[in-house]
Amino acid sequence: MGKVLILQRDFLMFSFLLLLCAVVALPALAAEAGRVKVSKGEVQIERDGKRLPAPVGATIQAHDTVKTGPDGSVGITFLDNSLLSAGPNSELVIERFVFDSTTHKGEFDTALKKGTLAVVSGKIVKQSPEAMRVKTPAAIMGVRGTEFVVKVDESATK
Amino acid sequence: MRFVHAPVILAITVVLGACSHTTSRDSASGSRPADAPQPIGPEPMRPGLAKASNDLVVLLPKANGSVGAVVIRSGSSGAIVLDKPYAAARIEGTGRVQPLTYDADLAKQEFSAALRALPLRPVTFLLYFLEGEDELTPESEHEVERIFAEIAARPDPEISVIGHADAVGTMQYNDQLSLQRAQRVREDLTHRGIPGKYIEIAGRGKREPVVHTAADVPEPMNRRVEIIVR
Repeated sequence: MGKVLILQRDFLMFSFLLLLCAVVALPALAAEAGRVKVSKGEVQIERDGKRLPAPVGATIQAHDTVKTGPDGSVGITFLDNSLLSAGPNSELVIERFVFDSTTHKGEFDTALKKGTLAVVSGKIVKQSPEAMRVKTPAAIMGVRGTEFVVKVDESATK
Repeated sequence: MRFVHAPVILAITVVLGACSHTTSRDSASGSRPADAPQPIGPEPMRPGLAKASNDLVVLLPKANGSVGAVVIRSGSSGAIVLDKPYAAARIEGTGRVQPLTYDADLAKQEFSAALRALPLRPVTFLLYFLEGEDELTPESEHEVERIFAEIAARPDPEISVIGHADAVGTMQYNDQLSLQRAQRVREDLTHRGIPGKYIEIAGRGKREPVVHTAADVPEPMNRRVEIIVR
């Protein structure tokens, strides 16, 4: 009797550790959301606390932060054909990117912390308007199939 | 008791080992100390000051002249819709949204670096085929040159080649035929010097017709290969 109980407990423990392992390994399996197509001057990707270079061809994943230096600019094409590009001294966080290439349903959240950003919406928005959102420190922009530019001027104080 | 635990502990060790292996391999490929770039700029330190910002949004006309819309939600202002070319809004740190119309030239100038960095738009081409064959129609044969030029103009092109067939024949036959058509287009492109690693191919058989027909009806519009260049 006691043995059976212990076995059960060990099995649960084992399952738990297996699950833990899957969670730990998950970031390694993070899917590609887009690719760097234009990279000028200083551009880096921050992923899991590490800084990576961002040359043309570099992969962008959900949760990445893309930063440009004083002479930097970067252009990214996403899997749903959305385009984002940032000018110098910018910080852009890809908060969420989910895209079903069959149904074109998805969710796309980005946050511009500072700098300038140009946005061209893609298939996600065509399928479901406002499923793409761009956040700035003061507002949230819901995108209904369009091209627009955003600037976050951090130095301005009120 | 100990005997009962031994295999479990062994299993746990194996699992954890696999775990740490995965993560360490991940970090090894992730951080390349040799060429790891220096952090860009120090975080601005403004102790005692709440982060205030002054955001600006400007709606641009699309390349084809049409205009979409952006909905701005901020603080207590409710939703403000921008839907005219160069319609703009300034959003203050307090959450107040001030609508305005921006000057086109000023917008282009202010956002010139970001706009110049916009990647080329993804484009889609269609090539058509002779019935039951992986031979292009003469018109489409000419089109390949234009597609090649479009691909050659792009750094790091991603090319999807998706073959389709009309409703003549079985599912299996058309799956095969559509894939063969996609392979044929890939060959055409690689012979012109585009590295095969940029090209991914698929065959969708007769599942996705452009023109819906009854079974076994030949339809030239459905005998096609879609080429998406990103």
